[in-house]
Amino acid sequence: MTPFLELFEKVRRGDPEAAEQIVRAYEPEIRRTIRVRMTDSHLRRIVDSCDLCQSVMAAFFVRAAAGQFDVESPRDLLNLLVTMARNRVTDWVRHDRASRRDGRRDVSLEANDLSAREFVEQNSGPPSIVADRELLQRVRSRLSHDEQRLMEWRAEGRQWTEIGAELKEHPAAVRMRFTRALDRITTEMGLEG
Amino acid sequence: MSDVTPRTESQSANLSPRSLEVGTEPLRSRDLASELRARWQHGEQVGIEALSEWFDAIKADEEQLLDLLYHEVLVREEFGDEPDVEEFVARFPHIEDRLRRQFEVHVAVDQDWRGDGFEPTDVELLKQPHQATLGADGRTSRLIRMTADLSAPPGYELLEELGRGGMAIVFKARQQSLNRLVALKMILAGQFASEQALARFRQEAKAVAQLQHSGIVQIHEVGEHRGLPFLSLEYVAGGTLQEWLNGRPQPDEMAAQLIESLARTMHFAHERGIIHRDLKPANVLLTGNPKRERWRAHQGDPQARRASEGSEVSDGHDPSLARRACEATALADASSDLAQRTLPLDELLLATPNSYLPTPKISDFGLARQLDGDSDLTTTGQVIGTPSYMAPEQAGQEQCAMSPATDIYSLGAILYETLTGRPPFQAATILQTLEQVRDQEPVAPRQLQPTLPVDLETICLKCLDKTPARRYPTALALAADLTRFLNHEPITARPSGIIERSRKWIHRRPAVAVLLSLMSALTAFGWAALLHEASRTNDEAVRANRNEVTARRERDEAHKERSIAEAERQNAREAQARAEANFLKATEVVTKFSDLGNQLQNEVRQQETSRRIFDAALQFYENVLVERGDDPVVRFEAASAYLRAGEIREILGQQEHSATLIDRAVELLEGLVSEANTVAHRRQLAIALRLQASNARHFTDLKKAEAAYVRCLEVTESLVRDNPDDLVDLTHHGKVHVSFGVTLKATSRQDESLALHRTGVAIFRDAVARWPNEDACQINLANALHGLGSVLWYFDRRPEGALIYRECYELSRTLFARLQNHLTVRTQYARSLLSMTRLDTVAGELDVAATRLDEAARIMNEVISNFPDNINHLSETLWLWQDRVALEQRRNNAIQFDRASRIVLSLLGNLSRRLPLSSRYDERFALETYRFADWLWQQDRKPDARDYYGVALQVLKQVADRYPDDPTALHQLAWLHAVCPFPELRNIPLAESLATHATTLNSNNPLVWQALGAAQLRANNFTNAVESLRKALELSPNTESQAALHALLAVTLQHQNRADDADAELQLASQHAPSVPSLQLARLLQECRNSMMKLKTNL
Repeated sequence: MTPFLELFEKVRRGDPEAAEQIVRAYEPEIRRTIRVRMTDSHLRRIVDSCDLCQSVMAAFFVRAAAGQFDVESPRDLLNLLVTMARNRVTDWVRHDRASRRDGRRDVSLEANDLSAREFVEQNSGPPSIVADRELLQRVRSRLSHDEQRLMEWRAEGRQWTEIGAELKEHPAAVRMRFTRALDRITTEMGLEG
Repeated sequence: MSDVTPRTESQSANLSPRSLEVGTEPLRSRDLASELRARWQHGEQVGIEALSEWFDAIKADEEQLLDLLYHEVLVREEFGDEPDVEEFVARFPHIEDRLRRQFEVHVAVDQDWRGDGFEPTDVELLKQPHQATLGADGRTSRLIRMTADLSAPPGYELLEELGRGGMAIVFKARQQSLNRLVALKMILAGQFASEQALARFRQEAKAVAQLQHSGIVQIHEVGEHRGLPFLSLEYVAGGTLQEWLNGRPQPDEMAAQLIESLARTMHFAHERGIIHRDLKPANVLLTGNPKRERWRAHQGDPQARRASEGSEVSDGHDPSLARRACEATALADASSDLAQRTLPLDELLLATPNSYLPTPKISDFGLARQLDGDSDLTTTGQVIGTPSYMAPEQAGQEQCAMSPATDIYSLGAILYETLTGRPPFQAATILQTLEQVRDQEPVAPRQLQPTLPVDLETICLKCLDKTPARRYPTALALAADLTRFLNHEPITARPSGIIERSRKWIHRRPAVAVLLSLMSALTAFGWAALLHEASRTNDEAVRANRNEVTARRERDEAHKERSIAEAERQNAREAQARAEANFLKATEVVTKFSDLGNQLQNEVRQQETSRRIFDAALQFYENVLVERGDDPVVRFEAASAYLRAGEIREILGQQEHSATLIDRAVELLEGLVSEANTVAHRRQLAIALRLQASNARHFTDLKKAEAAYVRCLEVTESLVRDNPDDLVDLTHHGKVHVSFGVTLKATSRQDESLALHRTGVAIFRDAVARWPNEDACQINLANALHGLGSVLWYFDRRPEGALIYRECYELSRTLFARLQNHLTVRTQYARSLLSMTRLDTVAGELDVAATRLDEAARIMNEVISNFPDNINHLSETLWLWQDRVALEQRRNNAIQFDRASRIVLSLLGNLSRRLPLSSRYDERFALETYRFADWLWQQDRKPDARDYYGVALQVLKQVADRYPDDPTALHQLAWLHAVCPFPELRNIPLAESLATHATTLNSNNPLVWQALGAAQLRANNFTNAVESLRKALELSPNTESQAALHALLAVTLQHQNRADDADAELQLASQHAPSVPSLQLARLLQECRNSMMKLKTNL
């Protein structure tokens, strides 16, 4: 097993430090990519790249530990994180449009303290990790009995094909059901959406 | 991938603190990216290194550097380039891993965001390429990516690239069917070309097709290759006008001829309803010149000389020689050598017997606009064109206002450059250039080229008028005026008179103009009356004299006439009195406006206006002084005008100019006091002397400062003695004490400094008691207390210092609660917060200190944003952040330390830029850089640390070179050369000689001796090192610095194996060290203890 897969295995076993390590490998670059490519000033006001990455990390940890992902290589991981980040931006934009919120009311720092804001933005360290075992426990407690069983099987390392065979269902259908359950819970818990 | 050329160091601005951007508005990578985009938009395919002024300031910051590099990637992709990670790694090898990861993420993001099922509308905003600097409205273009290989269209053979711009590339090509050379213009962005680029391409084809003219590059064919359009254009061999000009002014007749030709061509286009909108030397091509080899011959090229001879014969139809001439021309074309480039254009055009003017041909109609059509290719609000040659209405985005006058402006700009060697406006950045185009008048060409004929300057400036209607009505009218000039006939254009110049000025500065025009109107009244009366006076006096002579000659008959003469003399006297009265009226008006200037001086963002008023008043008095210099009233008013103009300049940081003005004021006032020792004269003299001293302090001319303060005290003392109940005199007397005390503190004259400060405090305590309702007394007392507290603290009388600091803080806080909008109260409160943090630090309450500094920073931020021009506020803010750096070092808070250090460096950069002639901010910049480097070293960030040590050394070296007798720069440079942890940056012999020289310049400064001691220690000259360090100890003002010196002594003694002595010094060092020592001191002590243990073990 490659060191990467060993690390990912730890994440699947609910190790928040491993999740942190794995996400940190790309976090600064993803954060930069979002920050730099976000040219719209309104969008910049409603999307904070730090918050975004933190939220992605928490969601990644929860979903990975719950067994949603099959990641084979760092490249897969990167693609996954990028997609998650993209979805998060999409969510925020939709939310902003739906509620027709006026971003101008969201004042995060004193308007005249530009220099301070600039320096805070440039020098703030990586966001503190919110993913921990307690969080995972809370997710687990919100799953139904069947869903919890799926989570345990995944934690044992069983593939979706095996699980599908066990339940006599199409593997993709099982996987989709499980993903929807996680979508529901992460949204309820305010981790996403 | 395009060939992006990072600029070399020699092309970049020198690294200096001035290159760091402002403290209040730090660098933003987004702004820099905008600048980069603007460059690409104008065909400059450069990397971020080209923004050298800023790049140098941020390159040490890895995060900022990566931000900017990623911006570069996006900009280049936007312009069809395909940036490659290997290129970036080669440019920035030290961040290779992060660059590779960034590219990986970038690719993943691109793929993901193009993926199926993704709703582009939701993240469209994210994906949009950056809005163009020049004001696109967010609807510009899609991400374009160059993937198409630029193969030749069928029937063409590509020969070489002639040039490329933001959207298109031009090749020299051969059209095989006709075997002729053509210029083949192809779209650069390949299949991903934006609609806008395609539309411009089509527009060019359409425009040129309508314009069959020898002065316009002709179109041969419009075709399509691989689904993309291309243009086959007339090939013009002589290169562009820009290449020929090469920054050199050209003879006026030649310039006139050239522009006349261009103007006639443009008139032809205008008549057909087409305006070019991007006329510039780079878009003017010169036809191949068969006489070119003449100059080569002239330059001594034998081959060319032969060809030249052949060329002359070829005029006589000798085919073989003509062929040789052609070969030589081809050779000359191919070599494109220096001889061609250095040849003046007049020689190119006029050197031959049959003066041959190559036809200038206008090219690139890509931005052309149909006057009556709807084919404007720019979106609303977008600025198009090339800033240096762009008309103000283009720069101002008034697209609807574009007319042939826009092109006439550009022709004027080309004329300007041809005459002077530079375009009318050219700033460091495109945005600044645009601002200049909109708001400033060009420097008159004759100021750059004094021998230019006035007429040509007039023609040029008429074209460059900001108001289109005031330019030539048509390009033909311009051509006609140029023809008149060439024929030595009178031209129709008229130079701007004073009224016209005023109109332009008023147009640009309406607010100031209203004030000044009001003032001028009133003073003009006074002047007119004055001049009229003076003239009358003169006439009448002459007449009176004549009558008197007549009367003398005909004495018997003259009795009657003598009485007439007497009457007329009387009239003259009366006229003189009236003139005097009018003059007084005029001065009264000027004084009133000066008062207005005084008021504005303290209003938010009005300091520059105030300066203009004072300058206008000064000009009035300077004129009057010439006429009436013997009049004490005039001299007094003039001195006051000098004083006010000098004072506002000091506030604005223009110290050198300020010093000149104030010296003049002092001179005039001293003269007046010696003639008539009035209270008014003395009061004004005291103010002038205090400013003179303060200015001298700025230039560290402490002797001049001291002399001015001593004299000033004499004067204020006499005033207080004569007017014991006058609050103004008393206040001034107190302030002089405080300021003088501060100056003496800098020369370590402890007792005298303290005595002055104590007297200052006593004066203001007395004032508060006598005028309890005067806020000013309390504000001054708070200020004096702060000064006294600082001196006590500095000279290590800390218990008393703490008491004074507390009293000052309480008073300042009370005042702040009551008078929050009072500027001095605000800054004084911030200052008192700062001093309280010193007490907190000693007490170990570092978090409390941090909170107080936050509050102080908030106040000062507000003050700076209200008074951005006031140099003193920036300086105060600097103190604050310097303390913050020291505090965060003690708190060991790396992030905050880093942040505070960067703010300090940025503020220092700003101050240093604003005060280019004062070394003190450069020295402090170096000191802070050194401190920051030291911290990086401790954090084990060695490459960064090395860079910062290098910068500190470089800045100090510059200062030391500029001020070879400035002991501060010398001892700092010596210290750094001695103690720098990187051996390759150390220079011990230099350190020793610099420090020795510094001791001869100021032997009272302990730091000078400390630097010498350190250098001697490094040079293993231990005996002398001990001596120098002991000398430093004698002079050392406080225990913290003594602790460091004891530690250094201990190290020296250890080297001498004097373990007991070393131990004793170490004990002393530990005793003197504060409870929470600075990191440097703590490290020094620790190292000292370690080596002590080793020494003892060895012994």
